Amino acid sequence: MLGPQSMGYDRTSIMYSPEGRLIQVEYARESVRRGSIAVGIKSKNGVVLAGLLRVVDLNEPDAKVHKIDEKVYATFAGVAADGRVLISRARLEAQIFRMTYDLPTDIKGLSTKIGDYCQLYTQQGGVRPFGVGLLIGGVDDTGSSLYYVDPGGGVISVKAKAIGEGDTEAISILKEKYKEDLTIEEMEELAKDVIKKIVKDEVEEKDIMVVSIPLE
Amino acid sequence: MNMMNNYGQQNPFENPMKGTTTVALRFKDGVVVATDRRASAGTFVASKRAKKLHQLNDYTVATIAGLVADAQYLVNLTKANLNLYELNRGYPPTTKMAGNLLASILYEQFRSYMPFYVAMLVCGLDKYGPHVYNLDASGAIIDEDYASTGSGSLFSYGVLEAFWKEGLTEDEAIKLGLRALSTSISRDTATGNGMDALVVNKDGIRWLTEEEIKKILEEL
Repeated sequence: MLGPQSMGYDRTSIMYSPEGRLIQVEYARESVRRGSIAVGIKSKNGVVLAGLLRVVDLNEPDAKVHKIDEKVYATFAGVAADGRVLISRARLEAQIFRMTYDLPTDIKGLSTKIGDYCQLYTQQGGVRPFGVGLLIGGVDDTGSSLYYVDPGGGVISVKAKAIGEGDTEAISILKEKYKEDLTIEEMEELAKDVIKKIVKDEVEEKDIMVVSIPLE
Repeated sequence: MNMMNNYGQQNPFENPMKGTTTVALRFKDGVVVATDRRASAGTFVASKRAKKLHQLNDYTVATIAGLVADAQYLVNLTKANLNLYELNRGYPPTTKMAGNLLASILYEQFRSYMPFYVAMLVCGLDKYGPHVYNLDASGAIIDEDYASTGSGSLFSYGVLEAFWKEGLTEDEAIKLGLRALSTSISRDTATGNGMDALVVNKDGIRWLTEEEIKKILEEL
């Protein structure tokens, strides 16, 4: 909760604070940072998405990277229920694109559609913003594409990105190791290394889900 | 002009879905499906390479007859829904589900007084066995041993009626399917310009090549 200066301006997402901030959206970004880590890397050879599976008790692990279309995948960090809704939405948009144009969707267009959808929840009344950050990656006619969609609806093209718990440290490792011509295998290794380094406890190989989409 | 009988039902043989013949039949471990390639507008041949046989997913196909726009839209809509089903669950829908999904779409439209003007076959192989679903514009769906739609269907039904039997092999079924369709190509003016044909078995969908079809027809 914020101090006296901003008191009351964090009660609804559609209300600006006097400094021009949307404080509910900033809180939503905090809930992304509490999610388990997800990593995306792209190079001229394709895209790799990876994430840490957090399994509690005797629950069966859910997937961390989700298929959206033939060559499009997405991973998210944050509120699982909100993520599920956005994943369903992305699949629906991909199929609508196929029905309309008889072609697989472009990833920029799809990411923008999901961004538009998130943005509505920062302007409409009676709703809260999505508590997830979404990495959408894959290959299309333009080559390798990787986009980050944030809870406010921002859509950013990224070379590599980490979201979730430990993202700051993960991004600094990615910055250090990233090259434009990484192979798919190198990107897979890098993604796994990043996750292993920021998770302090022992991680087993099976706790990391990796999906690669090579550019043919 | 749609003729309705006293029960308000369409008689498909008084006014068949125009200018097409499609044929599908069940055999021991799968189905054979064949369609012609002519699109007609009255006595005019509107296309010599119309695609009337569509893959819905790895084990399910559909044939179309009737209004081309309606049929193509329905194929796209069904495909999109089947893809969403598989993406959301991680396993594919069965042929039975594909057929019944399309039937519900047709029924809903029929009861909104603006039916899709189509006759379609949804065929494939799933865990319940091989299926040949015959769907009409009202949303009726019947799982048949064999079926035919379009203006030439009566000719093809004659051949299927005479030669189809339980327990056909794949080769026998292919021959019978092509024979039934080639009869319509010979005797129906709105059917012709070659054929598309495929087999669905446990390995998935196999399209017959131009040469294969030619060879089988010569041997008939």
